[in-house]
Amino acid sequence: MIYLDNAASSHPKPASVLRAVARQIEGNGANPGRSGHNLAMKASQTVFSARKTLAKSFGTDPEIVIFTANTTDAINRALKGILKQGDHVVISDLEHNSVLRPLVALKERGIITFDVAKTERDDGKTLSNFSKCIRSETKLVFCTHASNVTGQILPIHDIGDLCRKMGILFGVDGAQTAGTESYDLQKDPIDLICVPGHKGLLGPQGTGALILSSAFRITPLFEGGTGSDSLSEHQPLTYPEGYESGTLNTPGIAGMEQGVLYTDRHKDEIRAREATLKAIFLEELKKLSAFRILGDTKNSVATVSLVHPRDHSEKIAEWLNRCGICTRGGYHCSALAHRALNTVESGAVRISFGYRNTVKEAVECVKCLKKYQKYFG
Amino acid sequence: MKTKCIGVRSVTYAQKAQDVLNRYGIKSSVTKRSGATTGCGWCVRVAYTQSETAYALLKNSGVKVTGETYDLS
Repeated sequence: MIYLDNAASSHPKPASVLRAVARQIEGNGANPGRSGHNLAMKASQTVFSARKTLAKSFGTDPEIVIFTANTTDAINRALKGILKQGDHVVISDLEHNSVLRPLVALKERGIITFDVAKTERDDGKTLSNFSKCIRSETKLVFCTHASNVTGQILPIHDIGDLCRKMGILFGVDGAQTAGTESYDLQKDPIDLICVPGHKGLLGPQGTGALILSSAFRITPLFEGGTGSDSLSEHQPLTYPEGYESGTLNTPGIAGMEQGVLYTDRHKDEIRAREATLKAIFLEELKKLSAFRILGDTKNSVATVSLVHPRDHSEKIAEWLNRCGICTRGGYHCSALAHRALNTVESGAVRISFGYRNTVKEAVECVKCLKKYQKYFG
Repeated sequence: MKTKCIGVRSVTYAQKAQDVLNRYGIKSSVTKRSGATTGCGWCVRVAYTQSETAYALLKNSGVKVTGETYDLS
């Protein structure tokens, strides 16, 4: 099989990730941050080591790295922890449902309002559109760093600078960029970023993090056991434990740490490789007249989406699967993006490259699409 | 050896405190705190003779010390 669905979850993982997960499961099943015995303390050290690694990678402090189950989990904790009655939010028209749905739910409960800023190929126009959506009651601007449909990269530093000037919190969905783009939350105008462990960071599924630039107060989404202040009926508002109630995914976190170490060591190499694969794929794909490529492919991560003028994307994804190529058809949990791209009828076939893909695999994918064009037009 | 247990807010802060003290050459260990009035708690245990220095270093490093410190031997 040729795996070109790395925007959904990266595959395969580095050997160091597999070893770390196995080592934790085989060697230490103790609960971190609960008991005081040696194995529990060792588990706590594993978690703290991962916190420090993520903190170093993202330019922040370890205690404000909050481990989550995935990006959606992190985004929900951020949005529902920050937003209060009467607040207004601005998002982009390329947001994933992990951003849109919590906001719609909060809006339908009468808690918040939000506006959607149109994204353009021109970053200046995108910034202007965000600026026009901001109101006096805007508490938060939240947007993806790169679309999970087209791969288009948004000008998050410009948007963040705008937010800083206006005293508005700025949050970033790093689902498609963590691992390939660099962040420094002490320097970048970003107040929080939500990342998956299992995509570009090459860790296991079931991992993610909400990473803050400073210990500003948010309301925990969950209450429960934290391993501290146990006799109190109230949730301790201490970072990070007060925001991580319940037992952590220690094997996953151990694996995620190794993924972060791997991507930090190989970031330039990974980015260059993926960019080359995307360029070769696009060059070959443009020779096929049956398919239209979506979005801005110049300023984008290594994700390409295409549509056929007549056929639904799932039919093409199924065809690719028959060639032994894993891609994703449909709507990619991004209703907003598909409405903005006018692809609600067809969805899109998304091809997303990863650090282990080869030129031969990219060319094989185009060859399979060429066969599709030959048979179906 | 007589030790002192310096209470902090969580196991993460205890580990952070340990890192701070390590940087200044003060040996410490992270343990659960005994005698806490609010239930489970955490502390960083140091030699009694170094406890005042440790306390000052933690304060300067932004690690909040909670409640009492506990003498254990």
